[in-house]
Amino acid sequence: MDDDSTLAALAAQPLDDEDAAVLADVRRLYAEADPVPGDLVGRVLFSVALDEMFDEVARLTRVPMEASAVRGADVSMRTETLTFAADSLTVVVTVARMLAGELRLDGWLSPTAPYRVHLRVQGGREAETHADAEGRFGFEGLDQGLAQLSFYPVPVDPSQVDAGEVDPDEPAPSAGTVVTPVFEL
Amino acid sequence: MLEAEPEGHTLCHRASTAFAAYQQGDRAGFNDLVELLTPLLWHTVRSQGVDTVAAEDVVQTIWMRLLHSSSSVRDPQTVVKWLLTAARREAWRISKRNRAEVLRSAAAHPEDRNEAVGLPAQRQPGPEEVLLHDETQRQLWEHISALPERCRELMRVIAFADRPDYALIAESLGMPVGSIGPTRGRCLAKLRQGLASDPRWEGSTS
Repeated sequence: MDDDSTLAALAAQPLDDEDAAVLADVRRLYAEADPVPGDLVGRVLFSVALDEMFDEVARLTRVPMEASAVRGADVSMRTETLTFAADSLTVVVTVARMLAGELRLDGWLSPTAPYRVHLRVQGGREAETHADAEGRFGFEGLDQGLAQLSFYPVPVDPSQVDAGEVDPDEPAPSAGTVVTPVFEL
Repeated sequence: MLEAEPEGHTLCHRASTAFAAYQQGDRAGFNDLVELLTPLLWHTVRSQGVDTVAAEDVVQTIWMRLLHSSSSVRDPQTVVKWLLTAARREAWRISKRNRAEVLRSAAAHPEDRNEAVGLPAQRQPGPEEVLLHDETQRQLWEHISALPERCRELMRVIAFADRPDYALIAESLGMPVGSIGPTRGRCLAKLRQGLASDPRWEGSTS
């Protein structure tokens, strides 16, 4: 029998215990050589522990550190730039880490539209702000940890948006809501 | 045929049970599903040549999309296929974008051109990315590396599932029917043949 018909015959046999042993070795190899990061499941569980509905998950792109490195002499500050892209919205976020331990997050969203921006940080802290007329928003005095942003389109008159009020005639609160994957502060 | 697990306790069965529980209002069911299937998704995404940082983002994004689309997955039995399909598609998109970026940067810096041309061959993680623990693993790695790319992907993901699920997972990875399960299929046959013809290989340990 030539190699190919030997292979075909071998391929047509039912799986046996030797196959199970080889696959167990393959599993061990990859589990040790390229393990699931220890905190990945925890990150996922945090990211899906959202109380509100959303319409779209933005795609996260990390801008390499070299490209976003702070120029100049201020070595006490390191920054990281993240881009979140959704069909309806693109957001660029810069996280600045100060030596003092304080973090600040600055963001810029486009196209410019009134958005309520909600920040959820691991450990229960939440913060909220509105993007300004240029689409800019920011959060200060943050601690390190996992974070997630949600963007809620705001009806034109901001006085209508009262978190404590639910108006059954309003469009569903999920209309156009974009959430980001979890990222590290 | 010998089954490693009773039919009712395979990974895919437990996954669809957990997802069905979530769809019926049990929030913990979703968390169970995440714990059960994250390894399978991780290895699916990594086998597409996505780096570890981006792979974490992809896995997370896929879970969030399932949360968003959970009501559209009508049959809980299809949740594994939904996840693997979404993970492969997203990983493929990222690999394509990364290759385009390298080619673009190569066009701007022609002196780096050779690196860009070599890129498609780097989809399999290089030795520097894989820490091998002993000589047996090094030998196995050599034989896996010699397989066609689609076979490497199949072997890697299948290894994290249970035998009765192989056919479903192979199908979810876009492999033709009969790629593995209930018969051995050509990918595993090739690996077995390679190992059998290697005088250094002393057989699997379990």
